[in-house]
Amino acid sequence: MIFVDLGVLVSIGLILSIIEASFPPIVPLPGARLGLANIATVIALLLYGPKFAIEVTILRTLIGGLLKGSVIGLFLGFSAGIVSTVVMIIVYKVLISLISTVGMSVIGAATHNITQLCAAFLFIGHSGIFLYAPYLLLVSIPTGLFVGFASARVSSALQTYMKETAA
Amino acid sequence: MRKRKDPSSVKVKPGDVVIVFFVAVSAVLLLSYFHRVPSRDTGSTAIVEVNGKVIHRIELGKGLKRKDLKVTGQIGASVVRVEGKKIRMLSSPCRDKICVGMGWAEKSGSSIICMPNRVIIRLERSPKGRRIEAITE
Repeated sequence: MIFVDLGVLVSIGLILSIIEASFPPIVPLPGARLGLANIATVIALLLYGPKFAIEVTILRTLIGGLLKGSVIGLFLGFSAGIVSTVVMIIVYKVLISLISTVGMSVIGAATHNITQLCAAFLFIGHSGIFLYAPYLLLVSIPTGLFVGFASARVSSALQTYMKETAA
Repeated sequence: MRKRKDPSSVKVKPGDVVIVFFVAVSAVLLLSYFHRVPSRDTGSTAIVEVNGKVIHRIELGKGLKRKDLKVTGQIGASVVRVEGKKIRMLSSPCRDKICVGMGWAEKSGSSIICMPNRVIIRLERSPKGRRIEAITE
C-alpha cells in the first residue's frame, strides 16, 4: 500500500502546483508563491515519515518541472523543495515538543524561498536579486501558515480514515 | 477506548510564535540593512543589463525628457521608459508582468528585474561631479 500512497501523494502535489500556477500573482514579487504543493510533502512527513517526505518531494519537483517544460523552473523547484524538506525534517525531529506543524511549515516556506532566490542568483548572476529577500521572507510567513494549517487538518482527517480502514 | 496519538494536531505552540517572530525580524533587519544608504537628490545612474551584459547606462536627472528604450532579452523585447529621475519597465514579453507591476524606480540601490527575459534595471549612485545626461550604448 505504501507504493500506491506514494503515487497518490505525488499526484496531489502535482495537481496542487498546476492549480497554483493558474492563480495570478498576488504580490509583485518574482517567486512569491503559495507553495501549495508543499502540502503533499508535509502530509507525507506527518503520516509516513521523513524518507517518504523526501521521496514525494523529489518526485513531485522533478515531474512537475518536466511537465512545466522549464529547465530553470525544474532546477529552482527541485533545489528549493529538497532543501526546505530536509530543513523541515530536521526541525520536526528536533523541536517537535516546542513547535507544531504550522511553525515547521513557516520555516519550510522561508527556506524554500531563500533557496529559490539563491538558485535564481546562480542564473542571473547579479546580486541585486537579493534585494527581494526581505519581502520574500515576509510573504513566506502567511503562505507557510496556510500550508501548515491545511496539511495538519488534512492529515488528522486522513489519520482517522487510515485507522478505521486498517482493520 | 482507543487512545488517539495525533501527530498532526493543529494546536499552536509557543515555538510557532517564536518562529514567525524570528522570520519577521530577520526580514525587517535585512530591509533596514539594504536601504540604509540615503539616496541623494541628484539623480541615480540607471544601468540596463541583458543576461549580465550592460546595454544602457543612463544618468537620471530632473530635466530628462521622456524616452522609451527597446531592450531585446531572452524571450523578446522589453521597453524601458526613462522620464526625469525615474525609470520603469513599460512592457515586457513575460507571462506575469511582475516587472511591469513594480512601477517607477528612482532611488539608487533599487532594481527592477524581469527574470524570464533576463533584463535587469538597476539604479546606482551617480559618481560625484558628473552632470552629463547622456545615453550611451
